[in-house]
Amino acid sequence: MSLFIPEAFIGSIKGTIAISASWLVINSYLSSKNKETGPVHLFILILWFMLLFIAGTFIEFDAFYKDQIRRVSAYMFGLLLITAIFSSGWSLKREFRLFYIFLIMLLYGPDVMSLSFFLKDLSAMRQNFTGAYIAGITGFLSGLSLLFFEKKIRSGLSPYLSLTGLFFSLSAIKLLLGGTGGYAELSLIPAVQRGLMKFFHDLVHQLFVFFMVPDHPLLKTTVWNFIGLIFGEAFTMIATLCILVIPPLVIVLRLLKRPEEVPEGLKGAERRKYIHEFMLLNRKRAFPIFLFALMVSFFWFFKAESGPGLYIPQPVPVVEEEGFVIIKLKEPGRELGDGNIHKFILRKDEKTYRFFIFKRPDGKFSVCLDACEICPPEGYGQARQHLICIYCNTPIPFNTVGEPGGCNPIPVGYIMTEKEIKIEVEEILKKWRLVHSGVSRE
Amino acid sequence: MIKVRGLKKVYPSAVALRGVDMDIQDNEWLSIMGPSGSGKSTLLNILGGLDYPTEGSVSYDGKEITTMKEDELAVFRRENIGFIFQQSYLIPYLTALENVMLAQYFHSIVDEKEAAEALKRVGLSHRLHHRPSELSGGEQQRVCIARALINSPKVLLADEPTGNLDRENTRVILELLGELHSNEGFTIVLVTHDPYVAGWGKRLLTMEDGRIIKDESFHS
Ligand SMILES: Nc1ncnc2c1ncn2[C@@H]1O[C@H](COP(=O)(O)OP(=O)(O)OP(=O)(O)O)[C@@H](O)[C@H]1O
Ligand SMILES: [Mg+2]
Repeated sequence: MSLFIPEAFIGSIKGTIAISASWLVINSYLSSKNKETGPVHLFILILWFMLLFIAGTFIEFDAFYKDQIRRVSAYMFGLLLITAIFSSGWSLKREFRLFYIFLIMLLYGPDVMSLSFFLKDLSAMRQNFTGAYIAGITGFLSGLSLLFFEKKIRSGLSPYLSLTGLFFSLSAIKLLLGGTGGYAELSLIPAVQRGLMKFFHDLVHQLFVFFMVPDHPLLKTTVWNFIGLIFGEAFTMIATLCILVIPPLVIVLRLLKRPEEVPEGLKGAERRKYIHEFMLLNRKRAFPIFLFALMVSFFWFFKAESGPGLYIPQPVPVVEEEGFVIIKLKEPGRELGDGNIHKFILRKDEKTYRFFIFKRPDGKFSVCLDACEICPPEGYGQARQHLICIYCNTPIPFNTVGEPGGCNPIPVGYIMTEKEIKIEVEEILKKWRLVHSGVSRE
Repeated sequence: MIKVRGLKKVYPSAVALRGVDMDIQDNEWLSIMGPSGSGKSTLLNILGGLDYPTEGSVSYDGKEITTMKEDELAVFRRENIGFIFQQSYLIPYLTALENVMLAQYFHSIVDEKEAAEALKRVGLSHRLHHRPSELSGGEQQRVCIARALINSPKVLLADEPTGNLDRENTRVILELLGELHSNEGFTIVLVTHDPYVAGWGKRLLTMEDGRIIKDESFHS
């Protein structure tokens, strides 16, 4: 048994570096205002995260709450980004150091808890408690070592930070390093994109319902093909880029302008010098914001390049045996409990019924139709953290697969024995009647 | 105030300064005369931070410049000192206006209106868009004055500024300098061979063989 589990180390060092780096930029910002934070604040911070970590480790959270906590982390990011955009142009009159400490606490609290869940799950999965935690603690200490460079980094960084620049820098750090949930291209960009897709999708559906657009064959194909574009991959990808990149670029452009007014009494060379220094400073301050926009664009291209990356297996045909479909847990070349979705297809009376079996990270097996109640039944693909409805791109967190409602796949009852899963054919047929039967894009 | 103490400059082949001490007051117009090779230009260059002394110190209002690094010195020069030389050293492919604007650019940012204004003050409003080759020697030197003063230096250092000019043009330049000096109140240190030119100053230093041998003040 290994005493070191690399995933634990990576998860932990990533989180700790993010926290340390945030602390460093905040301190750089504050030091330009002569309001440095001290060891006491650092101590408070570390204590807080330790408490959260311990809580996450020793308190048993429901899968639902775990998922909510992970989600809060993403909301925190969104909030930070919005603050960054709207903070442009104003500066806090009274800078409370504690405000910033509190910001870090809030920003990374959910991440630290997720990390503790992650380490716990990892050690359970590998049946190696010591290895996971030794690696985790090593990662934690390595990440903290960044703080030794504080003095050096701080003075170099401080001219580059305005309040907005600070928030954008924090966003960038969170984007690069935040959370155990994965890297930027897996969190922010698809999240924004899915949000947009869903928004456009729902909007169009609502409009159709509202205006009672008739279900005409022409509408089925041509029009839907056009409308589909706006909540399709290509359009929402570009909309995502615009939403993420345009506001910071606007701020950058504003910062590159000349000062609107020059103090009275400054003439000639002195006036030019004032303008020049003003512009130099603002150019420096625009830099981190520009960098953020650049980084997001980079991830965007990276993401656009790699496509959605959904895992969509071919359904395996199954047959009815005395009113049941029986699927073995283990078969050569297939293991139902390996964490991947396994799709099956049943033919009965000239009709086909698709369903899948999925073992959730929390250990529970779910059997669901490969369709939901809302969308045309195009089925689901599997991403890193979610199942994704292929039709509307709604993400379904793994641990909520099997719960009914909305765009969740429709759950099907089953009987589980030691070796196999038995599903009643009648149950499949009955549940399939719930499937959305409206217009399909096909 | 500029304080010079124990200034020496030794070249492998010659000793240019053998120990110079002097104080220059703000707003003073100081002339330096002396035979060729007596060290006038060397002194002026060290005064203006274009060269380092072998020994000794130069301080502006208490700020020592001989220990500054190249880049610090460059900033210091650009903000405090204007130079005029015998040759005009104007950029030949730029117009008079652009030559002045270039000095603005190196200082901070350009301001065309202000540059044109400065050329107008030296009587060249009708020559803004002429290249140096299209200007007379006296006009070129006036462009140099506008350029030297565009960033409001505290001190103007002039090394034989009228060396290439005839008497009439020399007078025009000196009158112009006199007017700007009394309006803008910068210090002038002017090196010359010509007693007529030296006579425009309020104080005259005479150098010989790397030393100051006479220090006279004129009251008018
Ligand atoms: N770069 C140099 N290398 C070697 N010797 C130099 C250098 N510059 C000046 N000298 C010498 O230092 C002495 C002083 O020169 P400097 O140019 O200061 O004299 P000056 O008083 O300005 O003379 P002039 O009136 O001819 O301009 C001269 O002997 C000169 O040869
Ligand atoms: Mg000389």
